Amino acid sequence: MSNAIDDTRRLLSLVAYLRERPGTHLDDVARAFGLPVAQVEADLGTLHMCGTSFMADDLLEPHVDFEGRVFLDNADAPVRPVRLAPHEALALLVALRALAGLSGLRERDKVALGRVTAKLEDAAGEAARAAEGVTVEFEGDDAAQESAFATMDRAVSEKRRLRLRYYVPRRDEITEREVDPIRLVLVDGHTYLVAWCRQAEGRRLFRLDRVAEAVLLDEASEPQPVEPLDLADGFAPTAADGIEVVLELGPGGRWVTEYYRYDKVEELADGGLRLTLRTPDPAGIRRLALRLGGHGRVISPPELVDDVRRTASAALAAYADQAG
Amino acid sequence: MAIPKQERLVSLVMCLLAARRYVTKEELRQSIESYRLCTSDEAFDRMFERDKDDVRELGFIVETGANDPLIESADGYRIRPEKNTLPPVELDPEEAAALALAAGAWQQSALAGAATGALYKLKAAGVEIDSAPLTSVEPRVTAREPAFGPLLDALRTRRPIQFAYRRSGAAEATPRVVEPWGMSCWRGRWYLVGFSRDRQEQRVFRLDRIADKPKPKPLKEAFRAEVPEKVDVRGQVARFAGEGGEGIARIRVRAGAGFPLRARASAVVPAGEGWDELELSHGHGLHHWLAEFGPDVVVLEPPHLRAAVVAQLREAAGEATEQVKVG
Repeated sequence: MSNAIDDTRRLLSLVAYLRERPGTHLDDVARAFGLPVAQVEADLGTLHMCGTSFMADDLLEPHVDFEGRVFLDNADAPVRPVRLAPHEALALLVALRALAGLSGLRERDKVALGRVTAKLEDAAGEAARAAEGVTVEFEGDDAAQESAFATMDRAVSEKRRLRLRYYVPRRDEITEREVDPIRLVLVDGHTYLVAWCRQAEGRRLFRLDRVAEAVLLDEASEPQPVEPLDLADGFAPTAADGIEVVLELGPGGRWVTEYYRYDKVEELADGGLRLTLRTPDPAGIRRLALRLGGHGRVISPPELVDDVRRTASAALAAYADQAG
Repeated sequence: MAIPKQERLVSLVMCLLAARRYVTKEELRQSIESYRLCTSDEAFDRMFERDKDDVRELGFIVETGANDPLIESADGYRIRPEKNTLPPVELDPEEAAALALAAGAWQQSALAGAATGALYKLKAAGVEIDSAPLTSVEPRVTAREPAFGPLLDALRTRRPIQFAYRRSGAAEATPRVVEPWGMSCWRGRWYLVGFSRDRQEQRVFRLDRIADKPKPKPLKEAFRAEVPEKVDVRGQVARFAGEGGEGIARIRVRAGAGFPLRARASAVVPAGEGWDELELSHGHGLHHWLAEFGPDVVVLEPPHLRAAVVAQLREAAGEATEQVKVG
């Protein structure tokens, strides 16, 4: 996702860095900026074509000597580290404040976040104002789960196994399992533990607000090697296989398209939608149908249509038994 | 082969920084190869105007003026180094790690470039980022909504903005003009809080329901409504999303079932015969959620909530009568 603005930021930062530190080794420059050596070499090539030519036909002359030390000759323009732009200050400050608001964070981490936020506000000056009025909440319902968060954070840092009591919404029950933690990720308003589940023998995501209890074990975490997760789209589950379900939604059920992946959507005459989706979890769709009530219903498959009716009737019977 | 734009931008910045006086547009055109190669004045003008905007986005203050005080036309440009330099920042390893964590939160979002760019500037100033022991959590802010960038700009520059908005449950989007006051990401979704000129009151909008690319009003058009001293963006959004109590509900939950309800309950006591009794604070929309639990949840109080859940279940059971309005 590189564009000319991002490239320019990086190139100008390289110039500022090298003007202050001539003779820094190529490897150290790459390390300082967190870039591959090849990228730094390519950037030095680009800088060769840049300069203040109108003054005295001056172009930058970057070169790397035989020991790998980088020099930037002819860098007379006073290029220094540039003040932060409003969006840059905003990105860092909003995320820092959001992080500091996490419940369950170690006190030491909270204090470090506070210190760096104050320093950055000073350094950003006027640009810091861009962050006013913009907030991010990393947690939704998870705030009550302070101790589970702290335990999971520790388990990942210390690479230790966890025993979880974990809620499975599809079955509406608590399950017990031992897991080997891999990462702890905050995405889409929830905290997820990515871990190797020893019972399921596969990588699973555990959402913090569904953890009934987390116990740190003495055993080391030994997750099986698996492909890293792509977080580009959050954790919306993909359901390439599973059964095909058709739903008809009234106008009040249109929100379903914002929360569920689907294969096909058609507009209906009454302002509603007909939605076709695939799911490995028909019980989840039953719950959705109950939630929708009059705002939507399952059209197919017939077994699921029956299942929704039976469940709703059983629920009504419970009301008949228990007077208000 | 066209000369890469970044080469042109770096050269432009260096020219303007090196100048100890205002540099005219014509001088810049003669100095920077991409400009010299422009075949028409119009092409050069367009390119130069865009580049000036880009240089400002990079964080520079580009001043305009003329060297001769007797000349009124300000056709010269310069960037004063002393006004554009990052002040010294000294961070200990933990602070630097916290900064890297914060910047990493925006990767894969519209602010990815800005966050990385800020880190580059700090690194150029000597901030060293090594791994230091800090929380293991990896935060991610997603900002996939196309409206995000234009709204952020409108918020910063305090300009009213116009967009097409599809209300929940509506098939069609309708045009809105909003004076933006704040933005908040809550449960992974972005919301805008501002003054709606159409409704003449404070409103909350979900960014993923904005159907077009928002268009800012001209700079000279100011806000008409007074911006409150403190805008509680988060609180507004939470209420909009049905959070925050309207009252206390008493419900029965089958033993072992309904963990998420129990986790939120202010009280849980056994009620015998395999049931527990819970107290929950409820906002609007709770009846939808309670109906999800089917025969494992029975609402006791308040009566309107109980009636709403029963109506919901009747619909699902195919015994639909008329729609019950939830009070």
